[in-house]
Amino acid sequence: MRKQTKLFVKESIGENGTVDSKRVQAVCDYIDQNAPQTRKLSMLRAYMKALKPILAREEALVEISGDITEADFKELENFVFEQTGRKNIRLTKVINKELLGGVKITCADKIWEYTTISAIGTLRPNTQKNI
Amino acid sequence: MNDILNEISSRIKEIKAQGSKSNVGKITAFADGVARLDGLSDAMYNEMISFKNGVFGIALNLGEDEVGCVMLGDATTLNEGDEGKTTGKLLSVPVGKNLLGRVVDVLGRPIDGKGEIKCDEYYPVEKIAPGILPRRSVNQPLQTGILEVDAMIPIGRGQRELIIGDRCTGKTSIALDTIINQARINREGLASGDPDFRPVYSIYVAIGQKNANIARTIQLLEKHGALEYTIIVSASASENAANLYIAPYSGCAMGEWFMQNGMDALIVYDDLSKHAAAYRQVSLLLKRPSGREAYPGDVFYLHSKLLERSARLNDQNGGGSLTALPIIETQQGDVSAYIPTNVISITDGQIFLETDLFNQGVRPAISVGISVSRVGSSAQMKAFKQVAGKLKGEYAQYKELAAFAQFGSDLDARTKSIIDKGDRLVEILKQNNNSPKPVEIEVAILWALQNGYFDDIDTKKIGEAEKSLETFVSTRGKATADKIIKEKVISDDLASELKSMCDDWRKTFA
Repeated sequence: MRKQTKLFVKESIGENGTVDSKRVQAVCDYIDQNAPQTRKLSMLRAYMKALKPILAREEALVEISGDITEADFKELENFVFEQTGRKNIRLTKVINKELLGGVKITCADKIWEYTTISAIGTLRPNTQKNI
Repeated sequence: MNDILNEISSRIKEIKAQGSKSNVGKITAFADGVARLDGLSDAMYNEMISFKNGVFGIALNLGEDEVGCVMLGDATTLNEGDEGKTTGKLLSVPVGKNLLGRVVDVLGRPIDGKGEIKCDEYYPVEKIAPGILPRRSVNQPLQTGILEVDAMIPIGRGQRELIIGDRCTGKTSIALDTIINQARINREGLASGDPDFRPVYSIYVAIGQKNANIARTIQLLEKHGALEYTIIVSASASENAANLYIAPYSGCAMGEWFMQNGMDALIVYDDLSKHAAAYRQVSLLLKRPSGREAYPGDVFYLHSKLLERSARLNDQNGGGSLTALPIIETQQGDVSAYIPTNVISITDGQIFLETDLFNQGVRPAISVGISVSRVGSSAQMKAFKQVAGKLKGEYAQYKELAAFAQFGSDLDARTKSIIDKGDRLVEILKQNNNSPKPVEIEVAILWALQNGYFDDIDTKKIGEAEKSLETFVSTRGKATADKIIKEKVISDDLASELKSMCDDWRKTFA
């Protein structure tokens, strides 16, 4: 089943290197029509599990403490491209005042954090030691 | 309050704009101390993964879709869905002389209630062993204080000598007596002010032992003044398998600090059978393929990479050494089982303890026939070689002829004398638990034996005679004893001194 799932995932990726919804639908239809009844559910679940990390890599969550200009946002896009090597990543901007300042970018399992709250967090162990 | 505010202000000024990159994963399954995480695509093998509440794990399985992580410490607060983050660090433990006299867990954290341990240096738990060129051959003796071992199975600094036998045959006793003897030698050597004296520091790694046994060991070492020169790494039976797996490597890292800083150290792994069983448990939980006796395929490597880290380094690399005394428990005396044969092939010799000998009252119950030290007399003081050189051969000859002892009246005079001498040798080699002998007394006893001073003493009184000689040497024969240590060889002058000392002693012992 593993080999088959890998094949389905490969078939789901379009020409631009991202997951294509039409192709995903085609794969699901194929499984529906050709898979034995007893294995349909497990194959669909395995397919979904394999597709999740790939979909996660196509999106990045950008958390900022306050609004930024388009130029700054473009810079962040370039940064994400440099770090991941992928151009087709969809960036989603979210304002999170708890960061106090700076930016936090989450893409799949990677986090790049340049925030005031994390810098203050590094202070805590040292300060507690000296008081 | 102003001080606190000033402190915080100065810290705020020091903050530099620094970003961090981390790799995270979510726990998808967590059972039996093993967590499977989704994500963690950048995790390295053996990397520390940090979880909430200060819990750490080690990434041991780097799968295509998931990472298998074994937890260290108490992971009961973790649940499915919790996040784990890579730390970019391999597991390290604190090292240094500040650990001496302390009882620590596998991460080097104190568990004896004597406060924090201040350490500046940390060594990685997993490290590649020194290669061939930095090493030097073993030629410095490590006196165990056990007459049978020092005479016939001599151990040198930097050697790996396996202690193997069934349960309750005295394996741990041999190791602890060695540690106690090192402490005694350290005290005397440091008190003498000799600039060339090299103390031996000890590390005792308790793997899968009962907490009561570990407590008893600590008390014993404390009673004999050995604890101040010893580090105890405890991974008791109640801890999880990952802790038992890591414990010997943590202890080895602490020992390596001494070795790489030009000092000598002794490490006892008690015992590696439980270590192999813990590794089997961890591997099976990680769903690794199992081999013979359900052990994973790399169980040999588990012990070889540990024991190869014990070595003697050459002078360009500090001249330090790490001597290892691994302990293996056999089942019904079977030395041909999987794990025992593995470790026998790795080590530089073995001390085999037999249940039959133990039950007969021959303690230490060492089977001299199949015990060996591959380093041999290169690690023996010359004086010792002179008195003990032929001992093993005589013992072997005695054992061969002992079967005929029941026909006592039908034996020729030569055979009878060999058997008589062998009986006396067996009695002389018996030694009480936790009573290691100084080397000068061992040499004196064996010299007396070889020169017939025990020949006219009844076999049943040999033990008493030996004790009497020991007391005599320590008191009235102190000058001769000191000369043995100083000269390290029995010259003609020393031999005549020994003769007159033994003659005097013989007059006091009827």
